[in-house]
Order: sequence, then structure tokens, then C-alpha cells
Amino acid sequence: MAFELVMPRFGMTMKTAKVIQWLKEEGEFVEKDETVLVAENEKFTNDVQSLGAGILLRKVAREGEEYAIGEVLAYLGEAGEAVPPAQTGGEAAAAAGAGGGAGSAGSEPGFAGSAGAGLASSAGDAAVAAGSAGGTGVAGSEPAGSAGLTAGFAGFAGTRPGFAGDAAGAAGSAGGAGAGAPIPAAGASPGPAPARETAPGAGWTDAGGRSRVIASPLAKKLASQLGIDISRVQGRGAGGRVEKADVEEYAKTVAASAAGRPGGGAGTETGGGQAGIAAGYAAGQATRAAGQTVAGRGADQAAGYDAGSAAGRDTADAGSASLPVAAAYTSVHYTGMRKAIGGNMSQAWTNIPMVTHHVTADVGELLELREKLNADAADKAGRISVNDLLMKLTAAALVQTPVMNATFESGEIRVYKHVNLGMATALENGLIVPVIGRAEEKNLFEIGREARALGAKARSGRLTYDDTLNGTFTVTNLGGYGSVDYFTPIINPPQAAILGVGRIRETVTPVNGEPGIRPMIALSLTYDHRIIDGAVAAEFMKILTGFIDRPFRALMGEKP
Amino acid sequence: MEHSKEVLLEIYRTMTRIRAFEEKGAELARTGKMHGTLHLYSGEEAIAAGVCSCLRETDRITSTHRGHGHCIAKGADVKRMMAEIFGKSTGYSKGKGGSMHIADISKGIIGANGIVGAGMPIAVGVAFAQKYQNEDNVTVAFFGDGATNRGTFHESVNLAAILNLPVVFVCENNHYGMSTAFAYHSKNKTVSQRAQAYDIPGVRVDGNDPVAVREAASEAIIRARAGEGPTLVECVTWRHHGHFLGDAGLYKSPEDEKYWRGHDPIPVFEKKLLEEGIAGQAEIEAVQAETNAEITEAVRFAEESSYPESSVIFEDLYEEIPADFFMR
Amino acid sequence: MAVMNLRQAIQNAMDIEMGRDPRVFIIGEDVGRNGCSFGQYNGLPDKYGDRRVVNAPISESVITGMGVGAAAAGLRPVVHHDFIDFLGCCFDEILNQAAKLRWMLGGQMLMPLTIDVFAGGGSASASQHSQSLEALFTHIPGIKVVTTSSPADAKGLLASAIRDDDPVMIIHNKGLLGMTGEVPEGEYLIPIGKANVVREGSDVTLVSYSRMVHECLGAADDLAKEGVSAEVIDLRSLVPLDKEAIFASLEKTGRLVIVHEAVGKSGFGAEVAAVVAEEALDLLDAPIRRVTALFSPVPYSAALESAYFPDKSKVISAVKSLGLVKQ
Repeated sequence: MAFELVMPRFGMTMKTAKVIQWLKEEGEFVEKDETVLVAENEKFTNDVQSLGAGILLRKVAREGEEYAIGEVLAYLGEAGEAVPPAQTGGEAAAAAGAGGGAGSAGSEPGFAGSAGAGLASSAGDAAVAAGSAGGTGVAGSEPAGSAGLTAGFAGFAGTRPGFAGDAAGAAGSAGGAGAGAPIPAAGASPGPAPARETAPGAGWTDAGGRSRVIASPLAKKLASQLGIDISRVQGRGAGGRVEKADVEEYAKTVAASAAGRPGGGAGTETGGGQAGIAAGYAAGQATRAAGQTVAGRGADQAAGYDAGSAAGRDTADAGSASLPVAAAYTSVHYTGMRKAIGGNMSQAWTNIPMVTHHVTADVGELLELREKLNADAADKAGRISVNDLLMKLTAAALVQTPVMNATFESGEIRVYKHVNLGMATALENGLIVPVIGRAEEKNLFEIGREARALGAKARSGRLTYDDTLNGTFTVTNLGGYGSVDYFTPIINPPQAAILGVGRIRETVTPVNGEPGIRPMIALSLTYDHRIIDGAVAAEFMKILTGFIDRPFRALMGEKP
Repeated sequence: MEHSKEVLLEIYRTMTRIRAFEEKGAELARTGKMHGTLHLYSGEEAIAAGVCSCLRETDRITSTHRGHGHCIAKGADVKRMMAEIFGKSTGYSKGKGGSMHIADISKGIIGANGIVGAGMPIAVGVAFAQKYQNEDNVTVAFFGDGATNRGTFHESVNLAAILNLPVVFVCENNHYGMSTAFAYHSKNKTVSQRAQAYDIPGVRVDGNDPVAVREAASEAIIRARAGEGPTLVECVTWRHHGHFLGDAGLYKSPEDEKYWRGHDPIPVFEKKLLEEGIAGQAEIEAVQAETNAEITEAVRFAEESSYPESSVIFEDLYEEIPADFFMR
Repeated sequence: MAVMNLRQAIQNAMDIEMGRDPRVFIIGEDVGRNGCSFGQYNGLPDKYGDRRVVNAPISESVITGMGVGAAAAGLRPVVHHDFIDFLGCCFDEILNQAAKLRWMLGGQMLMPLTIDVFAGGGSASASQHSQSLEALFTHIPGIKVVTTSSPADAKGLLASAIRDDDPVMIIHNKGLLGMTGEVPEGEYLIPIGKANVVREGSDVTLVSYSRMVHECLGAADDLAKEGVSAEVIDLRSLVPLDKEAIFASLEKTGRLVIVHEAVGKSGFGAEVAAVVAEEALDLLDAPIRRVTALFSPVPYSAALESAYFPDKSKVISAVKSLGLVKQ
């Protein structure tokens, strides 16, 4: 059944996004979760992925144009399926209702019996599919999601205790983008939910004459994975319900017929795609599977579905030659937050000539100060951390060295008046950099409070896209792990520099000419050498370590 | 019974601290600076201050929905109390309990309670534990006249009596159970006479006189500590505000209101301290200034504290968050 | 292993727990030397004295409420009520005190309270002495609810409940008090929050607890003769719920029948069904069925009781209604 590809929500504040580039062509087969096009909003590029497997039937969106969340970008489905006419242009007529239906019925001779059903359903197919097929994607429990930072949030919102409502909201707002929250699709599917009455026999028929097959959720899921139109499957469960066994049976039949048909399967030949996929399933069944889906199209798909270890069923002919070997690894989708992080890292690594300076600083006084400050803290939540102090001092040092508080974008160096301090925060499945705005104006306690609030927000998945905007400098702290001294942090583009904080160690060091033991902290500053010279960076570190040496004075506003 | 100057001044200090806390709360709520329900204790200060002046830190109390006074008198920190009422993370319950659920277990305050009459069974259990563990500590259950018609009153007094538990039942008879007058809701003319039904001592004192309250409570507490079982102490008093802040108390007769306002425990006790030469005007004023400053500081602390993170919702519910709280 | 009945298993668990932890005491109606309730505490009053086996007047509120206070003050009370039906008399102490006190006070103390009750019908005890009311308590955040289906489970779950720092309601079924079975000797703990797969199968999952586990096992025996392989899960713990055990079973079977002795409407089966629908819909190859008591008070007459309660044959019918066996 045909289904829509709609514009997902990439950020909390996003309303529209611009389609940058199509990665698939009409007629091409698209795997579930495969990227179909790239869209951009607020300087973030995002992959738009398909919620299900199918042929790209019609591109609706045009490159360079803006589309609102939920707007249809494309239709996918089985080859030859009818899709709604295009908004503009004459080609729409080709896909008009009855013609599509008849085509689909007629082109699959083995299933003449289903022609009636095909006709009856074809007109409404796309509409129903918009609801039901789209919904299937959302209900999927794997956090595939669509690309982009906030889609990632929706994904792990579901892992927090009790906040099912939030996750539902997130899934809903992601425009049915398969956000990974295991919530039933009712509220989230973009299509209209047709009012329906029970009809005798195996289906529903709504007021508009559209029919719906009664099938178990498991059967529907399997059919969708296989690209099988479930309305063609004869249900043998109670009351004619289509169950898993019926879909499997159907898949075997189709596979058998495809195997006997030379070339059966090029994506453009109606029914072939389905046959090919089904044949793949039959083959896959023979090699029952641990998990990963292999991309392919048309007859090649035969190799697909659940590649994995053999479990001893009969191997169907089709596709068996190209069965992948069993693999002893877990496949993790490189999508969502992971992909966004990866993109940023690669971009910085490739485009920016980076230099890293390393230095140790004596944190003896800083630790004393912290102890004094915390002595009368009402509870743990109000305590000042070493990181809070370092952030405060970094902000103060940046005020003294404004060139470091800069971004390099659109061909110009932008030096900022205010320090918007990014705080790299590790998450279970990635990394995020919430920003403390105007850090130089805030006192230590305000910075501490805000840092804790942002950290908690990040870890509970409630950070918004807006919380990550407009950073001018980033601090990344690995000190807490106790296993890192120096490292070479990668710049968070378009920022000019990033400060890496390592562990504090008791170190033998000269104190007034005698060997003494002092707590020393390892600092690593990476900067963009295109716009910052070594001397400037060295000066910055001199000021910062000076502040760290004598934090009392620095916090009282003493200048270097 | 001898009452040293220190003890009397401390009672006075406690009473003024409670009054300052309650009136500040009323002001903040009325001006919209604080949200939530408040059941104010103003007018009843002599009871909490008098009873708790006889208690050790290791003794325990259970309290009521009108519990600020009991908590303050038993030593709770007014800053954390105020923060709790403000719904802040620094409050006693991290902002999860509010006015009706303030407790400080370290001070022996097992908690205010939003259910009328619910503190008494808990107090019986605490007293049971004290006896079970051979402590010589006692538990005081504070409750109002309205609670005496709940089954828990009967069940608790009876069980404490038959098990001879070290518990003192202190009834604050302020004449109204919500809007319903004591004269209507009780055929008994006094609460204390109900003690006879359980064959335990019952006494009735002027709940606006902290010395009278202290004397009666002291006797009951000594009995309890000595293993002689529970006592029912009825303290007759008057609440200045309605049942809750916002209840205008139109059911109170103007004559009664006038009479009791004339017997406001704080000025009456102040006069006594001055007349009997226990304290001078300067000392009285110093105490008032100090307690007012404490409450001002408490408000500042509460206002400056942060609101709790939503993650506290799942804290303290179970020892660990059960696995089934997480979606698949 | 020793063979004992469920009463003796409770007695055995109490004896061991009271012996190892002086903070443990029992309070309840009719638990003294002369009464001893259903006989499950026989011998304990003599062994531990009336200080630790406290026979209480008929005062459900204060019995339960004092348990809350004693737990708050550091003891580990076992509050016993002979009939779960009586908890209506002390609902506040469970709903508003035991479940909430620690949370409302910001976690200032633990609440290691065990509420031990008997539920269930089938003994012609009529409407006020036969109910299964567990669902009422699973709706209250802050307490755990566990059920027992065998002497060994009664021992292991009771001991775990007593050692748990949270309030735990442990519900035994009166219909199983005389049931005998092998029980591990000495200290024995069953983790709270884990289900027990009592019979493995591949065609349908029967999720149950308490007495109905045995009806499900009987049904599974009969179904096996007709070629249907039923898996039987004893949830043991309703709160927390071992969702993964249910999902793992449905991965195999795709079919779910929930069986409990309580009435169906808003019963615990509804929660199980909702969890599966929300989190594992795609595992289902058929609608979910519930086999429960009828939505009426429990009747007295033996003839009415058999119509009222779920049993083996009703479980089999439900399984067959899923089309597993051609009728």
C-alpha cells in the first residue's frame, strides 16, 4: 500500500525545512529507514528517511523549496500503485485512481481473485496507507528515528521512566517520523483516521467505501517488512483474520512464482518487486535471522530480509546464491544524534586546521575555595563543582581575550561581546552541548545552577534545540573519569576554540624552590589556526591559568 | 512545677517564631508570592510550645494538617520549612510535600499529615517501637477536636491503652472541625472526658496558657516515660484564621471571636513575663526582632532556592526505580 | 526440601525471619495463642511471646497505621489481615500513609512494612470474605504487590517482602492454604519483580497469578492433548511487573490469554493487556483475551461459585476462541 513521506520535525522551534537534495529517484527501491532526501533548517542538515520499505513512486517536493512539518514530500509503495495526483503539473492524470487499481490488479496474473479487492481499495489506498502504513512506522520500537538532534531526543524520551506522555508528544511532533517511542500510532499518524463500521467478512469498509483488512499486528508488521500488500493475503485465523502464518504462506507462494519467472522483479514491473521481496523472505526464513536488513531492490531484494544464521528450514531457490554470511555483531543504526555528532566531527576535522596547547595549572587554591563555598551549602544540589569554577574563570578569561570568543562562519570572523559558554555533556547514546548564555555576566552560583539544570535536562532528554544555540566557546570536561590528562578536543564548529579539562592529580612540583605536592589539573585548548594565532592562544591560557592559580582574586573581578 | 526563666523565655521565643512564620505565610499567600494550601496555627502557639518544651530531641511527635507550629516547636528548621511551602528543592520534602507534609525525622517529627486523624495510629506505632526497643522516649500525637470523631481516635487510644504504650494524645480543641462547631459534633461537653471510656487519665487545660499546657503535658509525659501508659490532654484554644487560608470563618460568632482575640496567647504571656519580672521590655523586643529576622531570612532562602528537577518525582517512591517504570 | 502446606510455609518463613531479625514483629487480629488466624502462625506466640506476636483488637485502622509508625521508627512490622475484604476498614492507612509517607517526607526514612493478607474464594464464604482485590492496590504508587501460588512461593516471597525496604502487600489465596508442596529449607528468598515461567510452551501465553496459575496448568495439560502448546507465566509480582517475561513469551507465541480470579473490569489483566498493547503490539497475532470472574459480588452457593469463578475449562475456551484449535 502506498504511503507518504512527510517532512519530519527536526527541532523544537522548527516550522519548515528546505529540501536540499533528493538522494533517490522515482522508481527506485527504498529500504525502511533509508535516507530519501536531505533537508535543512536553521543551519542543520537532516536526513529524511523512509518509514517503510517501498518503491519511490512520486516525488512531490522540489529541491530548494520550504515545506512545513507534516507536508507530503513523496509517495512510496509498490510499483504501479496509485498515488494522489500531484498538486501541479499534467503528469498527475497518469496516476488517477481507477487506472492505478486496474493496473495493479491486472499485472499480477496469479492473483486474479484479488482484482476486485484491488479495485475497491485502490482509490482510497493512498489515503488509508497514509494513516495505517505511516502509523506502523511510528509504532516500531527501534529508535531509528529521523536524523537530527531533536529526533534523537524523541528517541530516548521513551527510555525515561513514566514519561510516556512526553514520548507520545515527541513521537507525535516528529510528524510520524518513527521517533522510536513505542507508542501506538493513533495520535501520531499524519493521515486521516477514517470512521469505520464493521462489515461482514474479512474487512472494514468505511463511509467512503474504503476497505480495511483485519489482520493481527504481527501479521501487519511482517507484511510491511516484506513489502506485501496485506489485502492480498487470505486470512485463516478466527473470523478470517490474517495472521503471521498466512503472511508467511503467502510469501512462500509468491516466492515460488517469482522463482519461475525470469527477471521477475525489476522495480518497475508491477508485482515483481513484491515477488522479489517475498522470495527474499522465503530465503530469509530459511536462514532465520538475528537482525539486520540488507538493502537491495527488486529481485536483488531476494537476498534480503533478515540475513543471519541458518536454522534449518527449506531454502527457496530465489536469492539463495547471494545469502550473506552470518555475522557476529550487533548492527546499530548510524542515524539521529549519532549521525549528527559524526557529521559535525568530520566537518571540523576535515575543514579546520586545529592546534592544541597543553598546560597544567595549580588548583590548590581553587579546591580550597570550593570547599569554603560548599561548607554551608544547604544540600548537595547547591554545591559548586570544580567545573563550575572553571567555567566561570574561563568566561572571565574570554572577556580578557575576546578574539578567542569567536566563530568563523559565512567567510567572516565574528567576535562576540557576550560569552555563550557551551558545556559538552555526555549522554548514554551521544553527546550534546547545551549553552549557558552570557556566562560572563553570571556569578558562580548562577553558573553552577544553570549548569546543573542543563545537565539534568540533557540527561533526561528534555533539552531543546534552542538550548544548544549560539555558543561562542565550549568547555569539555573529562576530568571526572580520572583517567584522562591531556587530549585533543575537536572544535565545535563554527566556534573558534574549545577547552578540554582533564583530571586533577597530586603532583610533585616546585613550591617556593622546594619539592612540594600540589593538585594540578591538565588543560587542553584546541583552536582554529585560520583565525587564531598561537601567541593569542598562549596569552589566553596564561590568563586562564593565572585565574586558576588565584581564583579568589579572579572571582572578585581582579584583572590580570 | 518550677519553670526557669530560660524555659519560659524559650517558650515565648517559640511562640513568636511560630506566629511570625504563620503571618508571613499568610501575607505571602495573599499577595500571590506563594502558592498552595495553608492551614495556619496562629492563636494556638501556646500548645505546641508548651508541650514541646517538655520533650527531648529523641521523643517523637506526629502532627496534623495544621502542623507548622508543632514542627517549629520540635526544632524543625524554618528555612527548610519555608522552602518546602514554596515548593523548592531545598524544602524538607524537596518540594513534594508542601505545607501539610513537613517532617524532620532527625528531630523526631514523624510528619504533618493531610488526613484528619491519621497521625494517631502512626503515633501508636512509633510509641510501640519505642517500647519494643526499650527506649524511654515518648510520642506525642497532636490532633484537633474534629479528629476525635474518626474511628482512628477510638482505635488508637484503645490500642495504646491496652498495650500500655508511651504515647500522649494532645487534642487541640479550637472549637471547630472545619466549619462544624464542637458543640454540634460532640455530645460530650469536653474531649478529655472521653478518656474515661478507655480507663486512662484525661485532663483539660487552657490551651492559650503555655504554662498550664506545659504542666499538664509534663505530667502526662512523665507517666508515659515511667511505663504507665497514655494520657489524653485536651487544650482548649481558638484559631485566628479560618480552617484554611481563604476560609473567612463566617461560622464563628463575633462574640467568641472577640473574647478569644482578647486572650491571644502571645500578648497574654508577654504581659505575664513582664509583670512577674521574668523578662524586661527590651528582652521581649529583642526576641521579637530575632524571630522576625529568622523568618525574613527563611523567606529569602526559600525565594532564592531552585525549584526541584522533575526527576525527584520518582525519588523516594521505592528504594530503586522498578524496571517496569521504563518503556520498552 | 521439605514437604509442607502453604500455612506451614508461612509459619516457616515468619519463624526464620523473626529469628534472624529482632526488628520483625507480627500484629493482627486473632494472631494470639488462642486464635492464630488460619493457623499460619501456630507456635510463634509461644516461641516469641506477645511482645513480638501482637494480638490486636478488631481495629484494622490502627493495626495498619501503627505498622506505618513502627516501620517509620525502625521496626519491620508484618501487619496481618485475615481477609483482604477487610482492607476497606483501613484503606486510608494503606492509600495515604503506608504508600505515601516516605515520598511525601522527601525520603527521610524507609517504610519496610509488610501487609500480609488472604484473598480468594471458592469456599462458600460469600461476598465479603472471598474477594480478590489486588488491583485496587496496584493502582497506588509507593507499594509493591505480590501474590503467592505455592508453599515455596509463599515462603520465598514473604521473606523477601519482610526484608524489602518498601511497603509490600503480599496476598495469599485461601484456596491454596492447604496446598502441599516442596519448600526449600532454611533461609529462602524469591526476588520481588520477577515472574516465574511455570510451564513452557510455544502457541499461546497464559499469564496468571495466585490460585489461577493452577487452573492454567490444568488447561495447558488438556490443550497439549489437542496439540496446543501453552506457556504458563505466574507473574508473582504485580508491582513491579515483569514485563520482559511477558514480552519474551509473546515473542514465541504471539497469543495472550490473561487469567485472574478477580473480576475483569479494571482488573490487573487490563493493565497487562494495556502494557502489551502499548509496548509490544507487534508481537500479537491475535486479540488478547481475559478470563476473569464475572462482574458481580462473589456469590455464596457452590453452584453459583462455579459459574462465577474462572476455571480450567474457561481458560481452554478462551484459547480455542483464538482459533488455535478447530472447534
